[in-house]
Amino acid sequence: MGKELIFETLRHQKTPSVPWVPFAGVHAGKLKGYTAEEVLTDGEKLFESLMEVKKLYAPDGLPIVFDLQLEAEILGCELLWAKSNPPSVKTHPLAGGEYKIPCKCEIPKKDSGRIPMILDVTKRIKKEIGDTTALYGLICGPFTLASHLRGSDIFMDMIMNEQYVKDLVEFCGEVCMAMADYYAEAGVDVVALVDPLVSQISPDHFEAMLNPTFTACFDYIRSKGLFSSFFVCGNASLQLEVMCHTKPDCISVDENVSLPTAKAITDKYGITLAGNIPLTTVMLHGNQQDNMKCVVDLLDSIDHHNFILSPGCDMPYDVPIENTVAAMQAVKNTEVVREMVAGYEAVDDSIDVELPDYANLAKPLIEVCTLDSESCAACTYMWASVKDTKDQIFGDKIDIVEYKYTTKDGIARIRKKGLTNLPTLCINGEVKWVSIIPSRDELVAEINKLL
Amino acid sequence: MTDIILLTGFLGAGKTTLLNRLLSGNENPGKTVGVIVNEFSQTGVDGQIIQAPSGTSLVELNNGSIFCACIKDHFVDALIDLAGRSLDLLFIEASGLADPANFTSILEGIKKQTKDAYRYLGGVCLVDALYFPKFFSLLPALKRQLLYSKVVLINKADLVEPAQIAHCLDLIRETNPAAAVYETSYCRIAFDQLYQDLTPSRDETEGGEGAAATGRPALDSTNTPETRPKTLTIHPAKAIEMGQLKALLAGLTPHAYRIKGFMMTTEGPCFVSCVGEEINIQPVDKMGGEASLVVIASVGIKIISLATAEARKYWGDDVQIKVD
Repeated sequence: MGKELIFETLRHQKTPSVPWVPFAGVHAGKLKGYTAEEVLTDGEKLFESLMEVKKLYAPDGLPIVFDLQLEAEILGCELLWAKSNPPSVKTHPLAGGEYKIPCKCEIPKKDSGRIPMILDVTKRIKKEIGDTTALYGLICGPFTLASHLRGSDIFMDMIMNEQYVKDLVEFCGEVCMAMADYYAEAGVDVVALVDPLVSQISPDHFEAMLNPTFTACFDYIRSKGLFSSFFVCGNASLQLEVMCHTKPDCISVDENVSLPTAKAITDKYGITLAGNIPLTTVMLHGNQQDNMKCVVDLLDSIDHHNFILSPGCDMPYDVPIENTVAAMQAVKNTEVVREMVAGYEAVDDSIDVELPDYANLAKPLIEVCTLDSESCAACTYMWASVKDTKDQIFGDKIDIVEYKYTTKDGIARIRKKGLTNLPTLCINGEVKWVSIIPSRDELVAEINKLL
Repeated sequence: MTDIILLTGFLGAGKTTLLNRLLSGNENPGKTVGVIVNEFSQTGVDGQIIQAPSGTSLVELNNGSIFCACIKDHFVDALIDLAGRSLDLLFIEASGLADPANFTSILEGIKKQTKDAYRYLGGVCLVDALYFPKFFSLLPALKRQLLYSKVVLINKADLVEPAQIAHCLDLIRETNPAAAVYETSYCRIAFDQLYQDLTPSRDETEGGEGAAATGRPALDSTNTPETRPKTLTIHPAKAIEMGQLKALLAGLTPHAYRIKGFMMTTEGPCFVSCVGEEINIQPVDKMGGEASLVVIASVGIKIISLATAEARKYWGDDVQIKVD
């Protein structure tokens, strides 16, 4: 039974097969013809969509919603809604000079914002399929939530005012604990802190400012009798070790991280690893064979003990349904599928693009290569820090551009530039920051060298 | 008419000891007595160590302060219920971080339901001579406890130098010059003396209930769900060696205002009571309930990991941590 398979894996026991958890967040809506906004705001549509995920994708574990903006919205961030993406944060209530910590009375309550709708759907799903499927309650992690509240200033704060960052992250940790309480009461089995921005700061900063809150959250989740998971996106290769120090039951990574390398680290700490079918190149733009081959290759690259197969992160809305079905087939019937894709070579359908003439630019050019700043929080903040720097400091003296990996043109440019990790920030064609969001001062200093 | 006496004081100052003294038969001969005991944690410990004579009406209200919205409704229910029992005296032992500034307005609000059965005599505040100066400036609730008291006992006076007593006295006088102040050890004070200090003079009686109690108007309590300290309970499934118990407590006390509860050690059952970094372990004949340790943290959510890590050192997986 799927649920038991997840439980055994999270208890680090030997399992007869690899469990499968498709992160069908807004993509669940696509299955029933609903937009991202509909599926994240309308309980009936969310319920129908999740039942369809169960029917089509036969998941062993099922996230109820994948929306890292849910808590931020309640705490005063304005959201920008989209049809085929989760919303993104538009305003940051704590941005600015003053170092403010919200009152604990602002911690979301069970009846705040969209929480009642989500808890109601969780209870209904629990009743329908909770006996056979492990339900995941996803919560915006404390660092990403702190960034939503404070905006890109938080990267400067990490240098100028460590204590403030610790205090703000601790407040956000209390938000996570409150959310874990609500999800626990509604019947979820696994509570995941989803914190993409963790991959954008140094391991030292993580240990100094984030470790105590993350550790407390995972201990808290366990004290409630639930399993805990730590989701990260982006190239978290360097951060994996310090993430393990916070002792979650599971860590989930995306395609920026090499699965065998990650597994060696998580195995050392007895933590389950989940990952990491590439979201765009394979799931969104690939075909069925690409997905089958990718899953078989992933499974062949590691030991199956302590492992959950899943997409790297929240699946793009428009992932073709047949691609996810193919991935599911490959994990459930690996040997049969291995035969089917033996000798299959992926077709290179990339388009030809021309890169700027970096040697003869009229003014400095900042290129931000992202998965998509509208759907990936780490990308949002890297792009925001560049945009803010242009708007507030340099204006017309510099040019900025974003290349998104969700478009064929973006993929072609990012490949042609030889980049393997996103988000990456280049200045005049030269790679300056990979998976690290620079503070305002660092970025300004680099640009000033060219003016 | 039921006379109410409110006992306040920081965690570990000696409220339960005083209550036990006041409850012992020879202090209140012939009186029918009720007690409300309030604790921050979900697991009540004081209720198990109160030595109430038979016939005492005892109500335990746990998991928050009775002056806070989190359990105020239960407090009101208990007061209404006890009003109908024709008690002569009702002692209310507040939790250590209680801010009782709104107590008279709570009583005023239920006057109809209680048929005016209560006369609030006032508050008795226990000051821990060892720790009071350290915590006074940190915790606003302690100032409110003093402000809203008619009698203040500087307890554990035998454990400190005269200069420390003088320091405590200065802080008390600065805050509430009108209060009667006594130095005590083990809360030794005659009930008659206390009762005399608390009984309102004619002038006070004419000033209405709030004025009669403390001479101060009621204010909103600073006890809110948001200001509540993190509290958790450690539930071990097996006994621990005495040396390990001491090491466990030494590891936790720097991060806690208060630790208390019953523990089963390999040498037998014992009662644990820690205030600040002072650790007290007393053998007892029998456990007052299941083995558990309540930890009221001074460090926020970090206590969850600290307590989990410390407890696992000694019990491995045979321990459960429950966060309130």
